[in-house]
Amino acid sequence: MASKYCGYMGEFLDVDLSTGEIGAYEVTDGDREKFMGGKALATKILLDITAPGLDPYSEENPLIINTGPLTGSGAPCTSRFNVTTKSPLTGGLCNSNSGGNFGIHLKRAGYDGVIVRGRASSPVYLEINEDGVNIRDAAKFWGKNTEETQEALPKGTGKVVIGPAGENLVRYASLISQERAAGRAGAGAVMGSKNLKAIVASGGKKVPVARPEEFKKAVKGWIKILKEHPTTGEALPRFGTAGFVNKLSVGNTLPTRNFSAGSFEHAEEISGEALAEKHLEKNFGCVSCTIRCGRKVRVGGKVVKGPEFETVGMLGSNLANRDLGAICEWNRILDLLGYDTISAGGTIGFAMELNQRGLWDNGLEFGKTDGIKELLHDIAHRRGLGDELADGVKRLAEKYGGEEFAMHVKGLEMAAYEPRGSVGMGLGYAIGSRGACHLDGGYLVFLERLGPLNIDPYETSSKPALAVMQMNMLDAISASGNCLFTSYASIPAAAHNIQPYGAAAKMISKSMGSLHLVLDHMGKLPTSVLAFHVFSFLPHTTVISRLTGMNMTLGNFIAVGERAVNMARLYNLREGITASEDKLPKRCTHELQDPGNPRSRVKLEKMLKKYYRVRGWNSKGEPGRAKLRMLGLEEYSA
Amino acid sequence: MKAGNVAMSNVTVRYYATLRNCTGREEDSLAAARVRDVIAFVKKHYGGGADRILRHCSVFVNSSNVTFLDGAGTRLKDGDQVHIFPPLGGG
Repeated sequence: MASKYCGYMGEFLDVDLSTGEIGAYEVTDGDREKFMGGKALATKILLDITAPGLDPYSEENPLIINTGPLTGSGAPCTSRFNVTTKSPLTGGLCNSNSGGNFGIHLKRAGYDGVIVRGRASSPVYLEINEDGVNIRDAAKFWGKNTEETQEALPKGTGKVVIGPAGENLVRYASLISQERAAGRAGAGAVMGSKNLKAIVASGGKKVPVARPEEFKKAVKGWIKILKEHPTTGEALPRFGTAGFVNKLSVGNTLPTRNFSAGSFEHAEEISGEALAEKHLEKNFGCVSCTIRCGRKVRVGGKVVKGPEFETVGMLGSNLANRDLGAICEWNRILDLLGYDTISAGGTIGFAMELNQRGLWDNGLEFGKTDGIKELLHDIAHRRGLGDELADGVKRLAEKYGGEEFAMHVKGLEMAAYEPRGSVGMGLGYAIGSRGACHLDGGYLVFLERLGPLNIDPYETSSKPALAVMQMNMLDAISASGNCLFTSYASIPAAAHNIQPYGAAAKMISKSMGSLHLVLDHMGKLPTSVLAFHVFSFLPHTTVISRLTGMNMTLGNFIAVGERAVNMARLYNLREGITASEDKLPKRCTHELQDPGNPRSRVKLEKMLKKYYRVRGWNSKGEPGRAKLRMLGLEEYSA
Repeated sequence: MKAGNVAMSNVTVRYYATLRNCTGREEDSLAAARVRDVIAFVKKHYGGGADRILRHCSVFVNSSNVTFLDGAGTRLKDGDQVHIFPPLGGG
């Protein structure tokens, strides 16, 4: 169904691999106004088209891959596509977002998204172009790694593929497009369960623009902001994401030895600085990206994608591994095999601690790198010890014990921030819809530890409201088809001119800690109070409005994000994931990270109660009728 | 040694990211009474380039961000490590 709005191609494919039927799914313009695209829209579709309680590997569990209006529009950092399904790792919502070239090519083929249902009787891949869709035999690709597969598929197409890990149902298998991953929560395993090895897309269609000249002008202004900003214009291009390692280690927030500590004595050796000095060949970006945070390093004589911060943390300090060369190599192996580096590091780290405590004699030891490379292959092929590790931390804890130091939430392994050094991040892990994800829970560590001006990382009063604000904003950006890293430029460059060690910074920091006095009540206000744009803060709203022709004011934009969070919550509740799962391992809530610092644990209960209240949810963490009505989601009211 | 009424301490200052590119070294040892003495030392020794970067830098004494201590006035003691971080991005 064509859309009256530009920015969209107006078609959403619906493919059933069991029957071979190829149809269209109807997305209305009302849906586009409310959910925009990406994660927000796909979560709504997942809720609408599935029955409760599905086995994630059943034919009925769909894999939804879609874009946002900005994807492929020519705006900066807009190569993104989103993957949504029921997670085999958590049993709840799986949303994973990626760069690469697939999203842009899908739109060039004339589609905003594709729903894949059913299961093919033998390995297949989907070929999508302007003339339609073909289901092709993929027997010759099965067993190949993600690079071999992409090289063997038709040239000139956008590709998204799985590797052996997805084929073998590793519960945290990813999808790979070029060298970018939709990494978290196991969408790759769902794709593998459908015998779907890859999707390729190609075409020559252009994304329609409502007000081309004004759009071009806004894009130009946005690029200028990103290029001149200290974070997106200098820090990320120069040091990539791994630039965080040293600062987090100094601030006791770098997961070390399965999150038993927040500081790694060899952090310097695995830092962004060391990566830049010893391994970096060049930096790179996704198509349309001006930030270019990607690193190219040399592994085995070949120049390949280097590790991101999360990978360095989880395969480095979390395993007490000081060998950055090994991290680069393991990162490469995991990308080729197609599974999540964060969950891999979390699971191996947990297995190491189980061994150390005598709960599971598995031969894995902190700091010992021998045999890890082989183990990574064994996980992907579910061989021996690898077969058990392929199921993740939660299932290992069910078998071997150690629940109090099993570092997962809802089944998803924690990302690379030690929450006892950043308690707002701890709240984010507990409330994230896909589990202990850094991006799903508002990413407060940036405000607490990493940004130019910080809020007390141990303070709890302001964190619930800040989490709400950040989650809404990040989910809206994600729904638009834009990279979340553009949000770094929302912190005005001018804020970087305030000396963080000066008196003004201290005062601002204190004031930020009191923001909740206002933000606590923001959710009660209608979106019409923010019926304007602030280009220097969120250029997204201006650019989306000029692209689509929608009236995407700041208020409407944030409401899209808020709907995404509420729909994700409704999906998880429907699947039996209730407030009792909004929790952290006891290590985070009951053990002090620093015995000399009584604040160095996550006081979760206190923050959770307030978080539900600020969200407009009841004490059981369920979205209330009034909130759903306010968001135009009353049909989802229980 | 004393600066005013405050005793000087032997501390180490560590540089990161773009600041390290500017200083050309990872760390220096110096005598300083407060964080502001360390900042002054870096400005003096590494010139305008360092000065420009320093305006944007977070400063930690050991594991504590000085924003939550006494900022530039934070007192130092023997053996303290002062870490200076330019703005970062990642995730």
